[in-house]
Amino acid sequence: MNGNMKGTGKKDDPWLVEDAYDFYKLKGINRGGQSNLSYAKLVKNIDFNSHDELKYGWLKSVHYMDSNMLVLDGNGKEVRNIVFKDRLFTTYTAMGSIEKIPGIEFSSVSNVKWVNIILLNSYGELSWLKSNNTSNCSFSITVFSPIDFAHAIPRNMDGCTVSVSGNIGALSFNTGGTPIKRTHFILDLIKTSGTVFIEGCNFDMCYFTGKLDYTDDGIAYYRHIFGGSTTLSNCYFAVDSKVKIGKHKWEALTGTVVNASSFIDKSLITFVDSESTMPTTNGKMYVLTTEQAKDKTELLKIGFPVA
Amino acid sequence: MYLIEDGYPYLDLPLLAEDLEPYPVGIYWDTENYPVIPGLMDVVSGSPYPASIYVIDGETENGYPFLELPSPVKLSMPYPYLIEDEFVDIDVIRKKVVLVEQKKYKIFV
Repeated sequence: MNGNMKGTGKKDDPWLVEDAYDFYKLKGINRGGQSNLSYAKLVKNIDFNSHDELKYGWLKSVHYMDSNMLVLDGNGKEVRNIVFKDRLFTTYTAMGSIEKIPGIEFSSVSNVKWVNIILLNSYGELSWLKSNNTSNCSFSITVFSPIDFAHAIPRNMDGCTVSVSGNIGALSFNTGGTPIKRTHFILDLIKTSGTVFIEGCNFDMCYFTGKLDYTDDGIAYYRHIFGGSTTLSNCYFAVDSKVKIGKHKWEALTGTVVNASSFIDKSLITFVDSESTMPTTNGKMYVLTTEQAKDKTELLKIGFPVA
Repeated sequence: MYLIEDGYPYLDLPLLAEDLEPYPVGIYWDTENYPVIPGLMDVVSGSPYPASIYVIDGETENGYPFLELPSPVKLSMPYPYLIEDEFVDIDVIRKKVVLVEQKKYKIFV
């Protein structure tokens, strides 16, 4: 089962993952509906860059890795240079059903530095990493999927730092209702064209910084940063954003529920259309200036949890 | 609970933004045949920059000069590059990238 990997997969004797081939072999573990968790641990940095046959091949022909009973301890090591390419699904229907794009599926993932994950020319429910719990990880993700309804970020994160750069229709779509907690998103996105930048996700104690170019003409008649049953609790959005209205109706929060104090830094949002105005907030999300957003006293006034 | 010092609030996360892989420092580029790097543009004016302005004298790979990308510009660079309406399948990104043959790229770490 475990090829040349050392270990037995038990909690006190996990499989020890030393290279890209070992990592690839995790794909086959626990296939067939086994009920017991298996355990693996990275003992070296994993780099797929010299293994095109793995970097590309393993994601073309399989569905999920069928490893959702696998617990991966990254041990602070890196997994570097994985490419998800040409996952073009055309099954988006009028009912909104979007076929999932094959990804990596675990029971839990912790302490992994995911470096240079590339999502190339793909769309659908692009949940490239599925895990019941993804904690204490960092991600640097590069995307080129300029189509609506993409999904660039993993699900079920807690205590992670995520850098997403490139070009994507929307950052996130339908993470399945499980909150993303205590996670910092650093954006560097251009030509974003999606109807809703973040849709169907629940965030708790998350914050967004970086840059967002939301000026592509896109296809829709309205635009939202957060929308579509997204919920926010104690979050903030302080992203240097350029927004083009054009034919679009712009609102920041339509369809969004703010469960606890959250705010947006309005000073960072620039509309390239001269007739545009600030987004409405439905009275749910506080609209602050940069000065206010950096002032503890002002934040405490709105109930934002800052020590 | 968020912490705050001189800037925006932040969380005491195990891996902070500073721990993430840095953005690319530069690439080797065929400036003669590709005078403009697609996507590399002034984010304010939208005008493309000529690749030649980034050339660092004396450093070449297979005859192609090394371009050092200044921070405000490199952060607006899309990946992968789009050249002549074709997607270029490059291995990006975080390190130096070398143009090894036409439309073929390889990470140069």
